[in-house]
Amino acid sequence: MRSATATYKPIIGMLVITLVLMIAIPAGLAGLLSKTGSRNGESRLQAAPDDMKIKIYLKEQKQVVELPLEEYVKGVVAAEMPVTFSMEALKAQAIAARTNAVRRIQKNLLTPEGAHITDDHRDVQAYSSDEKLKKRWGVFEYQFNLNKIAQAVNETRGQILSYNGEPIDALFFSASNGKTENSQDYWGRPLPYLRSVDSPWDKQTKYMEGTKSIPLEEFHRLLGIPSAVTAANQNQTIQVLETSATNRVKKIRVAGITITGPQFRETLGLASTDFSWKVEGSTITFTTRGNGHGVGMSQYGAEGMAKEGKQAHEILSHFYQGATLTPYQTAMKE
Amino acid sequence: MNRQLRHRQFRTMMVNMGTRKMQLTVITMSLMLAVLVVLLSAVAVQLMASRSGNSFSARMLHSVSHQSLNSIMGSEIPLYASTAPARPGKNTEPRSGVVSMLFYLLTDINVEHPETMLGGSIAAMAVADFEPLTDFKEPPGPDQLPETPDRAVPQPSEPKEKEPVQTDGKPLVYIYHTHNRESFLPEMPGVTEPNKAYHKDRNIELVGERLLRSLKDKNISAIQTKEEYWYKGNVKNEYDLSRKTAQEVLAQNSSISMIFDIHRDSLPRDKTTAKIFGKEAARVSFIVGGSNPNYGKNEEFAKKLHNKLQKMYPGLSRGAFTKRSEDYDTKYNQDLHPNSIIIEIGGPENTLEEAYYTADLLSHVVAELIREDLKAKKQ
Amino acid sequence: MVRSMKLAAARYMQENAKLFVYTIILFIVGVLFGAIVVNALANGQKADLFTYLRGFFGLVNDNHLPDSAYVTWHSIATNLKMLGLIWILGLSIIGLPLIVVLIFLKGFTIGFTVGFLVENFASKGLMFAVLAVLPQNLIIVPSLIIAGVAGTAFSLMLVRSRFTQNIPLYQKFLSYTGLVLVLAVFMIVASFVEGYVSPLLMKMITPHL
Ligand SMILES: [Zn+2]
Repeated sequence: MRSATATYKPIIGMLVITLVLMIAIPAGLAGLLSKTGSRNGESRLQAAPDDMKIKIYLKEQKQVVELPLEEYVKGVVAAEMPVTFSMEALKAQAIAARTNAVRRIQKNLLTPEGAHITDDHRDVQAYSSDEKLKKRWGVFEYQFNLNKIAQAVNETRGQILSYNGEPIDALFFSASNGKTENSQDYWGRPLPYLRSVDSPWDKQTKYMEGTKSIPLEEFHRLLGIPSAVTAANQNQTIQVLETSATNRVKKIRVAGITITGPQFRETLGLASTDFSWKVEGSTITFTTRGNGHGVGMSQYGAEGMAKEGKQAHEILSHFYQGATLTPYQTAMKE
Repeated sequence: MNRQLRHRQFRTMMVNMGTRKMQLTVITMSLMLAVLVVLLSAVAVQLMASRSGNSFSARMLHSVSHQSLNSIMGSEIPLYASTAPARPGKNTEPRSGVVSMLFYLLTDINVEHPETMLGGSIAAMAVADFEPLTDFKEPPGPDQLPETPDRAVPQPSEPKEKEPVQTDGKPLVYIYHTHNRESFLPEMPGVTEPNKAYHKDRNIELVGERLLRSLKDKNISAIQTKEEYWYKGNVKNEYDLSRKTAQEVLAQNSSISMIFDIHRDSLPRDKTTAKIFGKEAARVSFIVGGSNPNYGKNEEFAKKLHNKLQKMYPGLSRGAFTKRSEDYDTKYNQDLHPNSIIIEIGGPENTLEEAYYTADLLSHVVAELIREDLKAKKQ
Repeated sequence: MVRSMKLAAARYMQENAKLFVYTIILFIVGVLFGAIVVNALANGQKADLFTYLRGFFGLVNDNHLPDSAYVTWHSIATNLKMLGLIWILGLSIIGLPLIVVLIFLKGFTIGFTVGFLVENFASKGLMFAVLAVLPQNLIIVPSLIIAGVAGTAFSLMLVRSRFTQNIPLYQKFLSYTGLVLVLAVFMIVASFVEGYVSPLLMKMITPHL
């Protein structure tokens, strides 16, 4: 009798294992096969028969690779915009990214290594290769996220922004302080499609109250100035000489030297040029509003607009005043 | 201890299988399994090896229809089977029977649903006037005017304020109701005759309101006017009265791109009800006025709506029809805008709930069309 | 009473252990095959299925679902038909290979569905599979496997009865049918799960899909 009750256990065990396997096997197989055949997943979403190829210099690997344009755009969107953003925001980003790429190709602007563009965010725009994305997201999320980005890129295939028949400088950044900046107030060059516009959605982001504390020693070292700034004299040694219409610092004097707001921001690694500061003890604390240079399209602004139901072309026409959407083939013919 | 028991278990099994006949059956069954595994492995290898789908197995696989694949997923995902899009008209996938499903998979023939003809009784009076623009052969019923005195004799009406409902952004859709008192029998306790289904407040305007709200939820701004035409007018001039309202609204809102004059049809319940996703909904039909000189444009719009509905909610739309008549005006104010049509939602035997459901579904369709329109404009 | 049922169940499983192994292997092979087929679909097929599924997720989210009673009823019909089919096939000797096919098919549909969900919706697809496909199948799959075993065993016993005298056919038929009836009850419970529990579970994840 006892043997009977004991021997059914393996069967029950097998049934349980079956239930587990019926989920685990397909899941595992899908994970495995997508690793080796990720091309299958992407080609499913209709890789465009692209004539245009772009040469990218990958800084880490120190090599130049050639990619179809649309593939490159996917990598830029994945690198530059949070994949959790709405589809219309991603589409706007895709168009901006493509515009920048086409502009470099059309004007034949080359990097020292002979590529059209690098993958460094500080140069024009970032790019993440598939390997990088797989590492960043893990093999499961990778396919899903890539599908979303591929859709954004595919639905905007070939579209760029142009002004007067030329692809524009489609600058973008993370979040503003409520208004974007006129291009001349940051980069020194006035461009008609890079005008300051309202971006109230940015006011809801966490970037409206960024803080950064720097030890005074570091502060002086970075700026290359003698240790002149103290808590007592901060109002005299640090003076803002000029602000732009959007409350961003254009010129600032520290301990006798005068530098531009953007230079100040980049040297100290501040989030934006809309900042205030306070020296307490041996630390200087900056409070920043916004994240990024502030010129062109605000990504969080785009997301805010998308959430309100606006579409990509509306987002773009808001941030890039006067620019029009054209297929790049037409823009290239000029 | 366990291993011993298991060993004993297998030994007893061996003893049971001692007879030759049993051994035979064991061998045959194992053989069957082995053959199956070998076959499957061959197919699997073929499928996995050729990425471009050149192998025999791959080609067979790729010829399987979407409906079959959908029914596979539908057999495992609850609720999916009733929502997956099917061929227009009727759902023709086998709902039960593994064998018929097998047959269906291989041949796309469903033994359960031989193609049925769309039949139906046709109100003789209306047939000559209606030209179906789509496959369906059931024209809408004639607008039945009740023979009771309260319709024939215009009565002083309670003045109703114009209530344009404005939402943020420019309005894209305009909803009004020339036959504003058309209502539903379930809303009128005690009334059983379909041609008495008219009500002062609980009427088709509520359905228009529901459409308005569903559109607003999708960020589509719309306007609805609720005015008394039913009492003020009669069959000769009711459209003239509603025309004035429409003209005013259009003059003030140039952004309007669709105009819906929402009515209630007069056909019996079995013609005006459909099950969409397992829930009863009031069917719609679209009427184009043939006396409008530019009715071709309106016809296009009506067809567009019908086709979209067929794709998204097959069976909900009864079709699009163009009405021409010598006796009375069939312009229906549709000359005011190329995208102006009459939408008949349900019949007197439907409930308000069913009509509300339809309004929700319609809002999805309208949203889709607007979206596509904007995309097209971009290019 | 329960103890004797447990003993009877235990003895049954012991007697038919080999058949259990056989049927389970068949099922798993089906699952594996379904998963392989998913990967080998043509791009057009995948894209369409993907679109339909996405639309489905949207519907679930908006609550545009068939009402639970309808779904439960439909599910009961489907499940009982499959169970009945196995029962009938078990009663005939030639039904054996068809039972094999049925069990294989069930594994296939599950492997295919789960595989597609995971391949195209990644971890969220996996979650959806666990929440939507798994629950009712926790009851259905073992029931079908047991039914398959019972049917096969009964068929084999019918064969044996040709050559052996001492087999109480009628008793065996009663216990076979009784077992299938018990399984039918389980299937009905599973159908209720499908109709009432699954929608709730699905709505937990569809907002993220
Ligand atoms: Zn009417």
